[in-house]
Amino acid sequence: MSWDILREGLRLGAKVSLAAIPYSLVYTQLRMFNFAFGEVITFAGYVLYVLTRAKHWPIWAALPVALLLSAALGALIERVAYRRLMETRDRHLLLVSSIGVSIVLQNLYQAVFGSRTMYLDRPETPWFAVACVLALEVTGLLVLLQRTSFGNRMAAIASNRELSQLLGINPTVVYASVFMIASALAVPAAFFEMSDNGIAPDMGFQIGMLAFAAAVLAGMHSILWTLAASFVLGVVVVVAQVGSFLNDRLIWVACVVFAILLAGLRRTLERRKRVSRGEDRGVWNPL
Amino acid sequence: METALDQVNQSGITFKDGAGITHHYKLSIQYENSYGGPNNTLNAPDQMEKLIAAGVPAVLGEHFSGVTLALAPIANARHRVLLTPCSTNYKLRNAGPWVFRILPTDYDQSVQMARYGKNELKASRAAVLNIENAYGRDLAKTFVDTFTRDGGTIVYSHQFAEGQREFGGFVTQLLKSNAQFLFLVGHTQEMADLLRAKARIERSLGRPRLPVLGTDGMYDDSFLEQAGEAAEGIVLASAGFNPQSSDPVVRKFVSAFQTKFAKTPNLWSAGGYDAVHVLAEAIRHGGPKPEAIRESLFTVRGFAGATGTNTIDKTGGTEGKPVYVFVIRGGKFIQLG
Repeated sequence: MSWDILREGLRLGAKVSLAAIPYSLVYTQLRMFNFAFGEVITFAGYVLYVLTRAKHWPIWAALPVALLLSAALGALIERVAYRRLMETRDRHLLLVSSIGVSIVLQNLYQAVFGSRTMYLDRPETPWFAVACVLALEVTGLLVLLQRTSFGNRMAAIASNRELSQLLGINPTVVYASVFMIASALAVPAAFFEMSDNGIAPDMGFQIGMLAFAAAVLAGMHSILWTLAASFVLGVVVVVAQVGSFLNDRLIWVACVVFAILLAGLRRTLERRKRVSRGEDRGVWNPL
Repeated sequence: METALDQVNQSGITFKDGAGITHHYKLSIQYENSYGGPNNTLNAPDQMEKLIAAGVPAVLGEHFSGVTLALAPIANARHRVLLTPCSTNYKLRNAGPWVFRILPTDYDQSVQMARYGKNELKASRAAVLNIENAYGRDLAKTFVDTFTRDGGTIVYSHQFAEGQREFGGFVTQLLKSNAQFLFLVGHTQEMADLLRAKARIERSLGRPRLPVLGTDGMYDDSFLEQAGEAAEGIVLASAGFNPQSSDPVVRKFVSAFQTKFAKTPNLWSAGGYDAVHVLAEAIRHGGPKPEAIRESLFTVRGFAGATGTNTIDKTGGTEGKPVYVFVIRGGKFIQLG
């Protein structure tokens, strides 16, 4: 494997991780798969497109606006499609609701913008810019989660919601904030993906599938694991194009299957540990 | 198709039957969406049955060769004319007595490009990347056969999937392969993404642009828009339709199309236009029964259309329609030779 190929793989990995980290953030804090996140990425992309191409804004002015609008969309989705369901114990309902949001938004984009791919027509983004944004994002999130009172409140709710409520933490506010942060992070993901491949109604869905695979490969565990898994996945996809043994599509399927197996294995091991410590009475909970 | 329909129905179709009675007909088109994709043939047969149930004598379609090939057995079994305005796969030559084509098969495009690579680029080493479907596989195979028969070697060959967006690995390997040019077959979106990745990687490696030869899949304004600067200098072969042509039939079509839709027609619109006119011509000759249309189609000779002269041969295709070579310069298709 040569340096050129590795570099292409890392480049793809960086793009995937930008999409996978917000995914993972929502899962680790809220224990839900937010399938609609890909559509938030697409939304951020269309905002950037409209502002820079149709309104001729400079990109540095368009980016903050896109951040705000994406966060607003995240809050809106949370309010309309998730908040009522958060009360229930069954996380499957949230999963189904997020798939619904994803379908509605994808069709909406198609109706408004058409199915044709559109391009930003900017000079290409140097890959160290992607690396810088990624480093900034990861550091920012780690600080937020581990060093701030907001992070503590999130952790408290994730570990025991009822008890945290008794302590005066308002879970609704925390959940909405998590969605807004994750949705704002759709902007860098959208920006780098569309400066390579343009924007189409399914852009977010496509990169979201890879991001989902990466997040699952990381065992839906932590942000750093997700980062590592994204790079592994990126390199695997690119190397698979080089080798003649598998075509691109097969390797994706193989990755997803492999990842699910790996995640399942981790989960089983963790649960066996918990059962042996007497913390788990053996009721199977798939999510 | 609508443009041609308006023209045909302005005067209607007059047909004199065997008993000397003159009939007047007006054409109408019932549209059904086959949701066809290059590899998606699931819906089309049902839609065709629906049309047959509605009593149509002839079906104009499909766009994609794979779908037309899937519809051919139905046309043959149910005795309905299937006239495809756009499909170019050479297997359609032997798809049965009820299957007709407006455009020449893509076989000639690959042969033209293999020759162009050898004679104009003076190349002996070629790379091939094609989309993984009937269109891509067959064009690539013909190219490889012709190029190797003429003494060239294929140093790199790969397929990519429909809807694929990431091409970094393919392009990196391709640029290492020592090929003198790339023969690329696919649909606009994937090819545009591939070419953009290729331009980017070439820039980062400080390499000169590797020449690209292509086929009619690129002969579409949306390809120019999607690939942008990365499409500059590409040479491609396509069945002929040149909206700038001074040919009176083409001018009539282009101005009618522009009045109706306020945009310039492409090859596929021109194929649809010719299909409707050829069908009307056949009905004018033998009446509107399916069997009569089928027989009269074979008598269509030298009928001037937007894609050239339509003369239906024994295989149901149009005979002797030329394949043109274009180069992309300044974001436009410029005809060579």
